[in-house]
Order: sequence, then C-alpha cells, then structure tokens
Amino acid sequence: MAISDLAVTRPARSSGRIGETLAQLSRSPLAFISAIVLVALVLVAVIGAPLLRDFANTQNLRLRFFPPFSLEHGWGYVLGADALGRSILAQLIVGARTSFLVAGATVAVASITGMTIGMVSGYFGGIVDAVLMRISDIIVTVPSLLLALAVLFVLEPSVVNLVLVLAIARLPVYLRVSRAQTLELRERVFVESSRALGTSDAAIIWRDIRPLVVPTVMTVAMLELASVMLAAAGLSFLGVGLQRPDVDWGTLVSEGREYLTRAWWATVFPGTAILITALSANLLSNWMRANADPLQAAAMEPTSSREEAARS
Amino acid sequence: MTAPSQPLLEIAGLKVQFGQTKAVRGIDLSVMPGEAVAVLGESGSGKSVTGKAIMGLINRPGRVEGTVAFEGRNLVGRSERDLAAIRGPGIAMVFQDSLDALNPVYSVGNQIMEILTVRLGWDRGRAREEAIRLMEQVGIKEAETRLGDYPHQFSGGMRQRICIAMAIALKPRLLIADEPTTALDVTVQAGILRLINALRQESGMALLFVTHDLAVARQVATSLVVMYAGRVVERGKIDEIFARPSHPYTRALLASNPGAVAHWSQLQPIAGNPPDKATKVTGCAFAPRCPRAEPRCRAEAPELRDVMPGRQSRCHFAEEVAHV
Repeated sequence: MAISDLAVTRPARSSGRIGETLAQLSRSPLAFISAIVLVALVLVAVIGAPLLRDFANTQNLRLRFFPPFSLEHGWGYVLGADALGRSILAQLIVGARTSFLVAGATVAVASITGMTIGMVSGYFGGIVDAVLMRISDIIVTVPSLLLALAVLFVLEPSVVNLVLVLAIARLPVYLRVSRAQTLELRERVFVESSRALGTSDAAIIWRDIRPLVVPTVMTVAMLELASVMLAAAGLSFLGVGLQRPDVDWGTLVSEGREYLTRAWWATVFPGTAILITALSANLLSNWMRANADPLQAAAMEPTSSREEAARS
Repeated sequence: MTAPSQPLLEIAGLKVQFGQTKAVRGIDLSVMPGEAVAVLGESGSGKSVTGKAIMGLINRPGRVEGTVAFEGRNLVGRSERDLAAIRGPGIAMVFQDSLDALNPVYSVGNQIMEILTVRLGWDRGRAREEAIRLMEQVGIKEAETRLGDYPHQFSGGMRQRICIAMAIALKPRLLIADEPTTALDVTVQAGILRLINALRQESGMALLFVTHDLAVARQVATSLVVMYAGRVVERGKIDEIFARPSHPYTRALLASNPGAVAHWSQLQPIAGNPPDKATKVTGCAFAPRCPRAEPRCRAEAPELRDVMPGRQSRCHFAEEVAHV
C-alpha cells in the first residue's frame, strides 16, 4: 500500500513538482547531460533548420568530398561536404528537424491512440478487448520494417505516410502497457467507489484511470522516441523514407554509404547524430522510469531530501 | 416520498454466482425508510457481495439473479445509465478499504466538489462551500485549509470520514456501509460509528450496515440479519436476538464474542469451516458445525420461517434453541 501510495503522488502536475523534478534531475549527471543534449538538439533543429534549408541543398561541385575539420571555406563546411558538395553540417541540422518531427509525431500519434484504445479495452473487457488484443498481436507478429516497406512502396513516401506507418507499427506497445495498468486500476476501490457514486464509465476512464496511466506511457514514449528515430532512419536508408529535398539523418547515412571509403564523414557524422540522440533518449527514459519507481528512487537520492519530501 | 409502510429496499431471492462459486444462495431482506439494518456474517458468508449486488457493482463474470427493489423499482439487470442515476442520490456506499477508496492523484476537496459539480451542476464556488460544510459535518477540523490536501496526507480514520462525506454529498435515501470500520483501530472505529449514527439522525437516511462484528452491529442498527453460507439464517430486532437467539449459529456467534463473556476462557470458538461455495448443500448448511444437529438437519434443508413475532429463523429446532 505504502509503495503504490508513493508512486502515485508523483504524477500530479504543478509548478512546484516540475521544479522538484528538475532538482532531482540535476543530481543524476548522466540523465542531466542527456536532457541538455536533447534540448540543445531540438533547439538547433527548430531555430537552425529554417535558416539553413536552402544552404543545405546548395550544390557546389568544386567542394565535392571536401574534408572536415577545416575552416578554409568557413564554418558551413567544418564537417566537410558530400558527393555533390553540399555542407554536411547544414544537412545535419535540417535533417535533425525532420528526424525529430517524424519521431515526435509518430510517438504522439501512437501513444495517444494506443493509450485510449488500451484503457477502453482494459476497462470494458469482453469481446471488444479480445478482438483488439488479437489485432495488436497480429501487428506485433508482422515485422514493422516489412510493413512499412510494403505500405510506403505502394503509397507516396511522404512525412505524413511515414508517421502513420510507423505509428501503426508501434501502437501495440502503448496498447499493452496501458491495458495492463487499466486492468489493475479497474479493480481498485476508488474506481468502485466512483461507480458507487454514479460516475459514468467514460468519466471514470478519463478522471480516475487516465492520470495514473499517463506517467507509465510517458516513460515508454521517451524510450520509443529513440527506436522510432532509428526505424525512420532505417526506412530512409532503404530508400522508402523521405525523398529530397526533405532530408533526415537516415537519408544522409544512406547517401554517404556509397562513398564510405572516399569520404567517411558523409556517413559517420549523421550516424553519430543518431547514436547520440538515441543514447540520450534512452538514458533519460531510464532515469524517468527509475524516478517514478519509489524503490529505485530511494537508492538514487540522498536520504535527507527524501525524508523531507515525505514529511512535507 | 414513499409511504412509511412500503420498504425502501426490498430484496427477494437474490443469488450471486461467480462461475461455480455461489457467493449468495438466495436471500430476502428489506429495509424500511430511515431504518438501520445490520447484516452480520463471518468472512465468506456473502455479506459484502450482497452490498455490491444491491448497487449493481457485480462485474462480469459474476451473475446476479432475483430482485433488488429500491423504492418499488427493480434494479437487477438495469442499464448502467439507469443505475448511475440511482447511485448517489438514491443509494450510496462506503467501503471497507478507506486507504484505497480515494483517488490518490486528486485533492480530497476536488473529489468531493466533483460530485457536486458533475451531478448537481453547481459552480465551483458553491461546490467548494458545500465541500467545506460536508468535511466539517464529518468531523474534519480546519476543513478549509485541508481541502487541498491529498488522500495520503490523511490518517485512515480521516480518510474514512472523507469517504462518508462523499457518500452523503448527494443526500442518499439509503447508505450501504460495507465494514467501514474494520480497517481502523478501536478508538477511531467508535468515532466513525458515532458519526454514522449522528448523520442518520440528522438526515433520516436508511442504513444497511455490513459487518462481522456483533458489538459494532449493536451500536448502529435496530434490526439484524444474520447470514451464513450465502443465506439468511436469522432475522429480527437486534436486542431481541441478542437476548434470545433462535438459530444455533447466532447462538454460537454470541458465545464466541469476546464482549459477551466475562472471561476469555468462557469464549467458545465455532469449530470447523463454512461449506465450500462450489458444492451443493443438502440439508442445513450449518449442520456440520452445529452442536445440536440431528439426522433430519443433514437430510432436509430448513426454510426461513416465523418463529415468534418479528423474528424469523432457518432452523428446524428454532423454538427449542430460543428457549434453552
């Protein structure tokens, strides 16, 4: 009882709690750095991409395979140039926006849809639940890359289609997590007592169950952000992802691969960007999960602050 | 308003079954407007399931048969929408596990106010005033400052008081209390019982109090229904039953109650266990544990019958039991 009590006092939102969360974050160096890296990447993508969009697609054949770490042609070419003499740095920044956009939109669509279906399915149970879970099983059995390949081959490879295909492929994760939690919450006395006061099913799902499912789904979503980014990169790499002038990190790796022996930088830098983002998202998600779990959180925090928190 | 002669709640032939497990094997029970009835039984006697069945809170795969008539209208088999309208202003319920009966992510004030804003359409200011009044009514000090506190910031007894405040917020005509004091220690328990009594006297609501504790039953109720193995075995005025039980099980319960004897060595535990709920009982369900069982008890199931004015018992030898 005490454990679930602690665990559920956390999700309530208020400015004080956000401050408290930031303070906790700063005590964990790895998670703190990960958060800063992610925020910096997002900022660069949001601010830099609109400014550099034209420059990123400017071809300059005299700078073909211009090597990195040289300021001879200014900061724009500090990470070198690709086979058509386009700046790697500018493409990385423009590609960051696309990668984040695709990953963010996919995770948002998949998590909200999956959570809604999962809660409804878990709460009502019965035939609807059985059918939804079997559909989810089928989605899980089909390799997501294959599904995406097939759909994107038939449909136009656009950002919207890419997001939709990836979202469908990742849906079961959220569906199962939220369904499992709803199954447990449904039996709690406060849900029963809500019913005993004449609350409708929809209101119980929205007001009693949703606030307790959201933190778990958030943690999963953070983890998924990295894997969706990798999946999107993989699709771009295979050539069914985005097409020029849209560019993301996967496209860059894919295009650079042909010249790997002559110009390693065209592949390695975008690859490193994917690695750093995925790693940061994973580390942060790991911290979020541990922080939401009171047993692990106790091990992570100094004792005094926990006791204070318990008293206040 | 119903006429005083018509029962507020009348249960007839109520059966609740989960798969092969028969939790309630057919009970009849009635509560008059303003009356306080205690349902007494040991663990597994079906008393809590009865309370939930009245509210329509039995989930699949549980099956409910029989009739539960509230103000003359049968509730069994009604749509969730119809039931939702009755839950709250008609029948409200207080649960045993007060630790878990409040949603941990909302402040208690919010939870009380929500009932008023959603069900009565009040604005938040008016709901806030009423929430403070309700919290004061159930004995929470400094209600105004505690409105924003979360459930985990209250003690068990205080939480149960808040649950009661939520239950009476819509002024129910019947309050079902399912062992509301079992999880609390004795001093807190006495406070809650006094509170329930006071609220009942103020509002005139009827009370169906489910408990396993004889002493508690006697403090809140005027009528008593004793359950055993999913059936009613004795029914009548509580003081009369205490003075002269007419069923061997009730007699045994009284003899095993620490409050009723002078010294613990006089306590008499009831040997054996209640029958398995999955098996069909032939004869009297209590016979295997009954000190005065005869061959007839094992062969022929006794009916619930009038044994004296205002008293019913399900025993072949009720008169003899009563006059020992």
